[in-house]
Amino acid sequence: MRYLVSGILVVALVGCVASPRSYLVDSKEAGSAIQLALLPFENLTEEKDAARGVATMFLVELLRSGRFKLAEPALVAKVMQGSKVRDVGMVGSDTIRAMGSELKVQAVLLGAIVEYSYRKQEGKEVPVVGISVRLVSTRTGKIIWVGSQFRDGSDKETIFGFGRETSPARIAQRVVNDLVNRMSDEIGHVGSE
Amino acid sequence: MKIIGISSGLLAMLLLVGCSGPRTYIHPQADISYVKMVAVVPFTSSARDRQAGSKITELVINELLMAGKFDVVEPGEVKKAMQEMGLYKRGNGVDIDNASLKKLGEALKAQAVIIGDVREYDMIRAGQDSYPVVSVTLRLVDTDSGRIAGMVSHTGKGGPGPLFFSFGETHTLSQMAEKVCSQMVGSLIGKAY
Repeated sequence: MRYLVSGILVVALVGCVASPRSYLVDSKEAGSAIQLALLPFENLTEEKDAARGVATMFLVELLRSGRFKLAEPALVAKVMQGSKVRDVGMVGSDTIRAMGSELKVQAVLLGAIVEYSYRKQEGKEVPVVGISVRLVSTRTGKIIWVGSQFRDGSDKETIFGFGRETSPARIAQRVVNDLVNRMSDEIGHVGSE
Repeated sequence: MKIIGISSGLLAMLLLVGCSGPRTYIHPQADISYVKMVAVVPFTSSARDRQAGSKITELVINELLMAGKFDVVEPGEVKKAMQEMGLYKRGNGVDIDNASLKKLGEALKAQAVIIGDVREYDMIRAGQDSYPVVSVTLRLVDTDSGRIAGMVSHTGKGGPGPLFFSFGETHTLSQMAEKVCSQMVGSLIGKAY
C-alpha cells in the first residue's frame, strides 16, 4: 500500500510525458548523414505560420546538437526554386538528389506539422503540438530515419495545475527538442560505431 | 484476499469492455512476404478537418516503417508520380482504378499500395472537456492484380475510460491518430506475417 501511494505521488509530481516515436530505417546511410539540408515543413494545420516557426526551431536545435552541419537555408531555397517545387509535400527524389550534389549534403530533413492548436480541458484552453519528421538520403532517395512527437500543455502538469503550459510556441519548442535529441542519439550512435 | 481477487476481476472486466481493437481482414490466398516496397497513396477523407487525410497518411507511413517489414516510397515521390499520371488532387486523396494502380506500382517499383479513408477526425465535447475521435480504414492492394490483400478498420475515442486517475486517457487528436495508426498497422502486419 505504501509503495502504491508513493508511486501515485511520484506520477502526480512529475507529470506524464510520452517520449517520441522513432525508427532508424537504414543505419548505414544514417551513419554518413552529417551535412543536412532542412527543407520547408508541410503545414497541415490551420495555424498559418506554424511550419516556418517550427523549421526555425529545428535549424537552431540541429546546430546546437553539434552532431550535424546544416546547409545555408537561402541555398536550399535556391535549389528548391531551380527544381520548380511549389508544394513542399511534393519534393521528389530528383530534387532530393539535386540537394545532395549542389549543396554537398548527405541527407535532407522533411517534416509536417500535424497539430498546432488548442483543446478544452476543464473549461481552459490547452495548447497541443504534433510534428512528424523524416530524414531522406540524397544518395538513394530513400527514408533513413523517421520520428514523431505529440505533446500538450498539460503533460508536465502536476498537482494544483503547476507546470501547465499555455503557449503553443513553447510546446512546439519542447517537441522539437525531443525530436532532435532522439535523432542525434540514434544517428549519432550509428555514426560513432 | 477474496476482496482483492473480486476487485481485480471487476477491473479486468471494465478494461475489456472499454477496449475494442482494429477489425482486420487478410485475403486467404494473399502472400504478403513478396512485398518489399509499399507506396502510400494520399488518403481520402470525409472528416470535417480538410487535412485529416494528409495527417493520417503521414502517420501511417511512420508506422509502416517502424514495423520494419518493408520499405516505403518517399511520399513526395508518390505524389509526384500521381501528378504526372493525372491522379493527384491536393488536399484530398483519390480512388484509383486497377490500370492506374498497376502503372503507379511500376513507376514507383512498389509491389503494393496502401489506400486509406479517414471517416472521422474530430474533437467531441463532454461537459467542460473535449475528447478526440479518429476513425480510419486502410486497404493493402497488390499493384499487379489490383486485389485487396488486406484491410483494416478502426475507430479510436479518447476521454474518460474505466481507469481511475485518468491513466491511459488520450486527450489530443494527433495522439489518438498515432494510437489508431499504430494499432491498425500492427494488426495488419501481425495477421499477414
